[in-house]
Amino acid sequence: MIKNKSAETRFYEKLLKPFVKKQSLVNAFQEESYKALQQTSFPTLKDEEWKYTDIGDLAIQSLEPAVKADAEKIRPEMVFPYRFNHMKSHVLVFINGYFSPHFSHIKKNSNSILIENLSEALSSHPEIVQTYLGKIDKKGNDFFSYLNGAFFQEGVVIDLRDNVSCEIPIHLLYLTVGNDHLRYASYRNIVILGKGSSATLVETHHSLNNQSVLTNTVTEIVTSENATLQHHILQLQNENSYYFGSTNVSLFPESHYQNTWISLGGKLSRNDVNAEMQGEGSDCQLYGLYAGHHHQLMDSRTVVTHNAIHATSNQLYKGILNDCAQGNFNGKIYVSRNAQKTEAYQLNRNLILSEKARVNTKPHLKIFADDVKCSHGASVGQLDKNALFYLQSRGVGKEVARSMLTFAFANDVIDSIILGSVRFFLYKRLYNRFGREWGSVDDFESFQTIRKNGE
Amino acid sequence: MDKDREGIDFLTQKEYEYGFVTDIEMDLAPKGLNEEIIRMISGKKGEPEEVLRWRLKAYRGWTKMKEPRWAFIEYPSIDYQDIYYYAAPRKKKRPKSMDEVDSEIVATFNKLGISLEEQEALSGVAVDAVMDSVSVATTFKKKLKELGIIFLSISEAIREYPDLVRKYLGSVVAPNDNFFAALNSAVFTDGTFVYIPKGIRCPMELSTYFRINAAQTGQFERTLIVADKESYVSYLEGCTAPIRDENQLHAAVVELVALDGAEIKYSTVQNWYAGDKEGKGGIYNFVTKRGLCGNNSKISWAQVETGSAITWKYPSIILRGDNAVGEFHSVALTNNYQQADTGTKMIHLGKNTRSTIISKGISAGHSNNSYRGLVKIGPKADNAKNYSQCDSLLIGNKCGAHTFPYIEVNNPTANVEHEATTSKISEDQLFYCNQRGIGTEEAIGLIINGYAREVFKRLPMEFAVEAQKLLAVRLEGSVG
Repeated sequence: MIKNKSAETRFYEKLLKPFVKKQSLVNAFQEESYKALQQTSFPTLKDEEWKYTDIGDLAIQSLEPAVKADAEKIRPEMVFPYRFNHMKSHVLVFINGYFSPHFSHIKKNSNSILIENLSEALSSHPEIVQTYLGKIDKKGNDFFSYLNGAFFQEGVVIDLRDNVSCEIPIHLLYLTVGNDHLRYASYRNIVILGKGSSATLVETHHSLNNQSVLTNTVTEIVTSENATLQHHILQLQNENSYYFGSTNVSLFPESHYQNTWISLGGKLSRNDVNAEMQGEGSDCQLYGLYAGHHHQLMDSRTVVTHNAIHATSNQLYKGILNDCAQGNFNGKIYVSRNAQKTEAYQLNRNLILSEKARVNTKPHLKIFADDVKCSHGASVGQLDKNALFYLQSRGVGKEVARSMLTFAFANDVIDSIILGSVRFFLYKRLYNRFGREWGSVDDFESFQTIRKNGE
Repeated sequence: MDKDREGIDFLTQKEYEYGFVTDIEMDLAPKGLNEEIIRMISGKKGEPEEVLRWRLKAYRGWTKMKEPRWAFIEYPSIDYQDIYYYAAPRKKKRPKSMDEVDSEIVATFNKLGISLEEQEALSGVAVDAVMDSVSVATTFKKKLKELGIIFLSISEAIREYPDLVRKYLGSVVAPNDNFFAALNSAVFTDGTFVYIPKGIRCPMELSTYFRINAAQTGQFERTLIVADKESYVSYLEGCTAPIRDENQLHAAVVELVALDGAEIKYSTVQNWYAGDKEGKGGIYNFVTKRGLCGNNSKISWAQVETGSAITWKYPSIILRGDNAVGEFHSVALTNNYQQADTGTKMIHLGKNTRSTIISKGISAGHSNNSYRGLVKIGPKADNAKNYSQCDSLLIGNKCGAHTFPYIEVNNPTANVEHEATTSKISEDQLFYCNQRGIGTEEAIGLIINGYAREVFKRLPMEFAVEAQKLLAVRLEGSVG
């Protein structure tokens, strides 16, 4: 309800107006979300869930949908650097909220594997969209979730039949091209893994110019019995961009889900992972790395809900904050009354490298079952002085030692990515952030090659 | 596991032992809260005009505030107009010695095992006993006076040391700090004032026993402790309350001021009536406790929370001075339908400040026990350090244990660590004890005692006996 005409409210009206005219609300779900959105107030610092995330500066900008024409100007060589060229994969490229079939490359599939962009899937397999859309994302009362529901433009539908394994990774490449205004691009993904199936999904977000775009993504995932999904999300947009993403997973018995969230880009990025352990013996591994510099704000959020017995979950989130960057972690473990024998762990570690960098962490536990093992930990600190001294005593310069240790700190999370090409791609990015003191890029690459060969 | 069940049932079904009502004629103000009532309270206390204005300001602020509902506790809305804000034991004149104290009051304390005479004579503890709202007996005053230590009820202090009280009252917890602090500031009827002069080490533990007595009477205690430079004081607070069917409201404010180099140790055993097995009745305990540290000073809170239907309490420390140290040690036990949302705030503002948080939660029955804490490192707090450990123990599968830490770090040289675990008493541990001839009930007591030991150790010797006795009533005694 719009109660008062604050700056936020004005933004809220500004935000809705252009879309109401331009986007026809095609189905009941969008209409429902739109109604819910109108009932939800724009988040401010007074909301507990937004306590440390100030999005007030969005209020003074006018927001308009991203332009398809801008996307059409993109040439293949501009997209090329963002693909993992040494990795065979299904690639789906999205620019400004639109699917680009000519840049995408989906290898021929058997009937048991469906990989399609959302608008195509709506006509070819409407029943899948109908069954799962909005059923896994149960956040409720979340502004950006409703916003996505009301105005999503494109997305992907992945459906694996029982006992099928998708041999090569699926790469979703999202690109943005902004212009003078703040632009909006949004995606809605549905990933359904049948019993005993397995897949690897990589999502990367990049900007093709320096203009600001607000990206809003909601992904809904179901892992059926014994299914396994490896999911990596890399947020590497320019430092004028806004990113609001949420991944919602429903885990059935004995299924495995692993998520690695890497955030290096964006002016403001906020990522939610909601995992619901529905089945006995399901397992969920969440990793995250947020490395911010300049004035970046990075928000990592997790909710792991244990509703079944014998399920395990583990979370490791690491932050490296430099310059005036701010890193937030908000993790929740919820163990319901019947989820006995649960094992749930959560660890958030942060490294502050500069005087004005900030970290806020909220690792929460809510436990209603008695026969459980749950723990969480959080730390904020600097590089280990003893480790620094050790390296220096062996002739490594202070700056080099610092960058080596910072790199090592991040490595725990990077190592959770099972795809070598993606890891290598990230190493280079991280090298540019922390490793400059270390030596030339060539030295670094040869080091990595040795490392890679050694594996 | 039947035997185990029995042990737990026995433990969770323990009735409140200290439930009795003393029949003393009461001096009651009419129910409800308005400016007239505040003027009346102030008038009865013979307070200066200034204090009345302060109260009224707090009251006006309070009327504009909303009751906080963010804590993980549930209770029906409180009708603030249905409460007596003033009740005092009727008296003709101030008692000058123990002999003059109403014999029934003395008997009440005796039943609780806190005989004034005994304590005065044997343990050497000065007791400022508060029955409902007015201080009825103050002991050891003379001895303390020789050292320049002021240990008075706060209403006496307002009359006798107005300048000192004016300087510090509300300096740590501002009158409009929060809803319950504002309510307290408006209507506080009594409490304790302590002043330790420069360089003095208080030779004895100071202690006060609070007791809710009159039906439907809320207690609004106000405690102010000022430790001047390089001084030391250890203060004890403990409470028990009689069984009542109606929920009673308790909104206390405690302010601690540790000036440069001073040390204050504040220990609490809280055993208000927690309601019966069905969760009927019990005290609503909404407390604001906060300490302010100067350079090189130290404040430590130690608490054993076993009572109250609802506990909403966050003893905090503002580490303003350089090299200041803050400590928080807590055992919170909830049983039946009790709900506790408790923890601490450590605000680091000065350089080289250090803080430690040890919190042990035990939930049994249908209760919910939450730790909620904030560690904040300000931009100027170079080399600040914090270590937090919050453990929860679940007994039975109908209770809940929750942890809500908030960590805000604005300085790169800070070192903040937080750890929390949740577990139950493992069958292995019980089996090990059984195997060696220790019964299940006894074993549970033993394990819980060991679990909370780290905090018990922090309680002063004089208080530890009392604390263990009170905890034993609710746990160990019942299983041992």
